[in-house]
Amino acid sequence: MEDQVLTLDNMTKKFGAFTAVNEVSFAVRRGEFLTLLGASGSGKTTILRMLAGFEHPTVGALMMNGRDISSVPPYRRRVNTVFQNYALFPHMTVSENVQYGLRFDKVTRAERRERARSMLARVGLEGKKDQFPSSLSGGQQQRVALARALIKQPEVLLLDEPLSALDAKLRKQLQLELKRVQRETGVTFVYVTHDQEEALVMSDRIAVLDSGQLMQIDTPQQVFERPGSLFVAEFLGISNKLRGLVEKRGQSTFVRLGHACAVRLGESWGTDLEPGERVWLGCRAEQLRVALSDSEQDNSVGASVKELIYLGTQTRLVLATADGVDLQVQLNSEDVPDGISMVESTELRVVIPEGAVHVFKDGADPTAMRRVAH
Amino acid sequence: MYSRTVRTPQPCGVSHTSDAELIAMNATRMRRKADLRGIVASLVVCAYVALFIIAPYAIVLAFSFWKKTLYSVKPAFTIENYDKIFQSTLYFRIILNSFEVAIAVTLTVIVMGYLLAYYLSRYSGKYRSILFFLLVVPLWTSYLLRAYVWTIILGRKGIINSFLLKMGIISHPISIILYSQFSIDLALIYIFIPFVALPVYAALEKIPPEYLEASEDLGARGWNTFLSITLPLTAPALVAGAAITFCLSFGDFITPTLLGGSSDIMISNVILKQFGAAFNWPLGSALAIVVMCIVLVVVAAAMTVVNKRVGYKL
Repeated sequence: MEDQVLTLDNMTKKFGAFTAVNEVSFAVRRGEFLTLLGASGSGKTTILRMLAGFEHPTVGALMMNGRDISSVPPYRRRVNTVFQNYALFPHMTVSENVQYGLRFDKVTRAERRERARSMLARVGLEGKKDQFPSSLSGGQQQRVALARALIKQPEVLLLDEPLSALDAKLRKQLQLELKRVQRETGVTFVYVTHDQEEALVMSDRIAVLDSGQLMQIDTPQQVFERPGSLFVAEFLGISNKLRGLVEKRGQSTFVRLGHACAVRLGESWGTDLEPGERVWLGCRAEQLRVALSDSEQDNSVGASVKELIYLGTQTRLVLATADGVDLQVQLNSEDVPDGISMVESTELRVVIPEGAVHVFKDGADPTAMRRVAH
Repeated sequence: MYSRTVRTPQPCGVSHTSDAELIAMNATRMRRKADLRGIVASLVVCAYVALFIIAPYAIVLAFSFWKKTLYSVKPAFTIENYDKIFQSTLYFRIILNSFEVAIAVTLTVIVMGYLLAYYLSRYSGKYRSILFFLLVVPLWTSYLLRAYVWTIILGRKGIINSFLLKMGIISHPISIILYSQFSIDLALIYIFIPFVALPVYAALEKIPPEYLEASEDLGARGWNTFLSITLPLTAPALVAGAAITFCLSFGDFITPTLLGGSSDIMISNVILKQFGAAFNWPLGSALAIVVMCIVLVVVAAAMTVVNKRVGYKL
């Protein structure tokens, strides 16, 4: 069994009649960068607040190093938080802010000052130590908040969308910087975000949440390439979802999307599928290709161009199939066939490569649509 | 406003005002307009200050050096009014008494007003708006009424006496609770609590809850968070309210007149008398100047200390 710092055991949090977090169980491994990924209202922030101690679970337990800390107050947990809007104290200088946590740790004044100095050096803000937070830029304030939390040498650092208030360029830069600090200090990071790209870039593991429930927890690669449900697939950018019926022809398994189109599945998908079963296919716009409509190809469906969206290096096509389903295809701009026009609804064939297909069982809602084992 | 310049294509070689020059010209014009607006605005402020602040005090200051004769006051430059004040133990005792009242009232109001504001901000829950309303309502009634209402509560036939009589605790109405130092203090405290509670409440409401969570997260218990975060962030509001309370209670004359006994007079009662029955405007003016100096020194000292401790200004 791997080394677990925090274990969430069947945790549920209710606010009145509203269930913010519903029976969530997972473990945070020591030294990892774990991201809680979800839309607003998915319960990710509530989970973080329970880890910090600001909220207590209605049901279930939170274990730290094997000890139940569900009702331990925040000031006695070896867990610190970087808040979304940093929450720097406006009446204290940068240095005083960073030292604040040591006031309650029986640390001498001289040592406090020295540790604050070296912590500020780590985040590159030595020169700002006597300034007030209001005179710093957003990125600098973010670094101060990080230094203030890390100086307590927490076992787990919680970060609540710390980059959401910054512009895109600075955000990219700070993502890498946070990752570097995490590697250097070896502190376990639990990071909350709604940005899937951020999650993929920074995390060792990603926990995808929806409506207070844990959908999937795995490495970025697994979550991205083998999403566990149609919901996770959609959340991680699989923009095409198509309903179909399973067909078997000899050894091969097909999913029929319409009268003129059936998609052949790879060998491994067949085992768990019954002929006549209703399933969903998911595929990324980036993995589909287009061909001119007169060239007959396997695994292709005829469609007419509805929209053409130029994105720079890439171009996104929105196409409508004869059955009235919209498909999105994203191509490198130089691969877009000449003469495509929205006005004339150019007829094309959309090619769905075997490897691009994800198959999900049909269910009541996207979160219940489990990936088919293969 | 300046009109937008429409440029027509110019044949080559014909000189024309460049864009940069146009922008510079417009900027100059705008700046002149802004300057003019600034001058008008500051003139208004200066006029206000001169008319309603400097002039009255200048007049009082001038009067304080005048001379009183039997039936009139005469322009002069004499310090005998001040001399009289500093020589006499009577004035000194009354000023000291007023000072004590003002300090006692201010300290009590600081504690009670803060507690009230804190309760209202953190614990009042669904009763918040009704409690806030009850705090503000007295400010809509006249100051005189707010002092006078205590005669109804504390008087010989007042609510407290009736209650005690009915309960059989006393057999005759007691009068010491009204017309005493106690009743003055009580009424002043009652009157000035909103002056501290309201600004402190506003300051408490402005503190984002994350500050308190961050403090707790970093290891501070409730009391430490209050001392390190909440109190410093509300200190400017608290000092402002306390300063108003101190100034107004030091200079109050209505409450002692209504609720005080014959010996419980405050310095403003004396000043009032000089401008009325005693007809000694120069002495009254000199007393007013002395009181003002004391208040200024105390308030300035308090603000300096707090600003230094808090280290930042809102």
